[in-house]
Amino acid sequence: MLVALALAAARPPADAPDWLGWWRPDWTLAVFFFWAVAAPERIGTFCAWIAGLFLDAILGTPLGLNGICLALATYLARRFNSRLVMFTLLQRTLAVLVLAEAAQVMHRSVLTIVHDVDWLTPALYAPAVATAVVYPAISLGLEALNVRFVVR
Amino acid sequence: MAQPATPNARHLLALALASFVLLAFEQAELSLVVPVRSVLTTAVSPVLHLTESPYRAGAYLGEFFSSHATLRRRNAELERESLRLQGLATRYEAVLEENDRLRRLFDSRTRLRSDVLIAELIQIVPDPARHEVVIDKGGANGVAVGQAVVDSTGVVGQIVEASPVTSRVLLITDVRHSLPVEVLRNNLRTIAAGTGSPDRLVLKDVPVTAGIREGDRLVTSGLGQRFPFGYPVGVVVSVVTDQMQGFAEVEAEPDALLDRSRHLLVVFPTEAEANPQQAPIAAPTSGAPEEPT
Repeated sequence: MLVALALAAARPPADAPDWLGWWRPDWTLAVFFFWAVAAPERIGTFCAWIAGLFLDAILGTPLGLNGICLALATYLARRFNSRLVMFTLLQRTLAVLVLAEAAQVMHRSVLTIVHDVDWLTPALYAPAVATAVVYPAISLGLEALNVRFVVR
Repeated sequence: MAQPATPNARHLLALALASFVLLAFEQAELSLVVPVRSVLTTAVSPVLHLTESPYRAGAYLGEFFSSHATLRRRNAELERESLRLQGLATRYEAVLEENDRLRRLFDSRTRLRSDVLIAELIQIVPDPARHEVVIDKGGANGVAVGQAVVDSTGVVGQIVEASPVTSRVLLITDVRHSLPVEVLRNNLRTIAAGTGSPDRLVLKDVPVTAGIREGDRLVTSGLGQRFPFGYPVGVVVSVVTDQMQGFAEVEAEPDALLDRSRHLLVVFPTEAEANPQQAPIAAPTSGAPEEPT
């Protein structure tokens, strides 16, 4: 499971289209959110933070940045777990949208401070929207996995 | 359904603190973080190879299934190209010799030739705001931070991070990158900075009286001692002069195929070049330090 998620994180877009780069879903966040809701006793905040550290190494972002974004999303998903499990898929997707947006704003702000990249780019909203768009598919796929292998 | 474990907010706080400390340490360029990142990068390098494998497989299959006739045509083309380059190379050697002789006559040092290491691209950082790529050679091959990276057509960028098996290259078009260049036609020295757009560089602080024109070729000036002298950087594509302003707005297009090259060359400074006291390449009139990150 964790291997699958590490792979999902590193998937680079095809070389050609320029605008597509902005619309890259935050795969790790979506996957961690799913498991934090479906199996909260298995996915901890610390685990998410470590995964984020590896993600930083893959993407060349400052160490600890993705860690805290992922840890925060996982923490919130576990904190409101009892509510989230009662939600419909659509409601959960909206929750992902909000979380991904919050993570992205944090991410971009730190990058702006550390690397001096532009703050107002499509990166502020595009990845969050893309994550929300792919989340139902991820959720259904992982749900099938969950049922098949009885993860908990 | 299992009882959901209530997460501890203190854990999150501790992790936030840890992240903050890491960020601050890295920002302060403390050497403590370097081995951590190096270990992590080495650990994830198989993932990078894996993510790049579809593209490699595509290229391989394309080669495998190309027809006999195509291969023959390509082979013939390459042979012709090789002949042409050989011809040029012999002339180049002769010119180089002559140049060295003339420079000796003028009592200045001969320019040094640098070694290169061929590296293959294994990842393009999937963030349009940052122009970085990862190559498959690292500290184990002698690659170190600060080395210049070129391709067959021009300067690509410089190494900003070297783990044992991979290294990260900051491209010249990244907004954080600047490199000292000179105009080939009139030896005007200036600095070419990245714009964040993959096909534009901007020349900084060019006086309106400098006489720079569209079509002027830019090469590395060798100042700053990071990029060796004489590698092609780009061509000036637009010059906007406003007499009210002291400086012209000059844009250039990079020569290197930044978004297409798969094979890159890491330039190794020769010994004397690594030691700046021994090799004053040209009399530096103005300091033009590039900013690596």
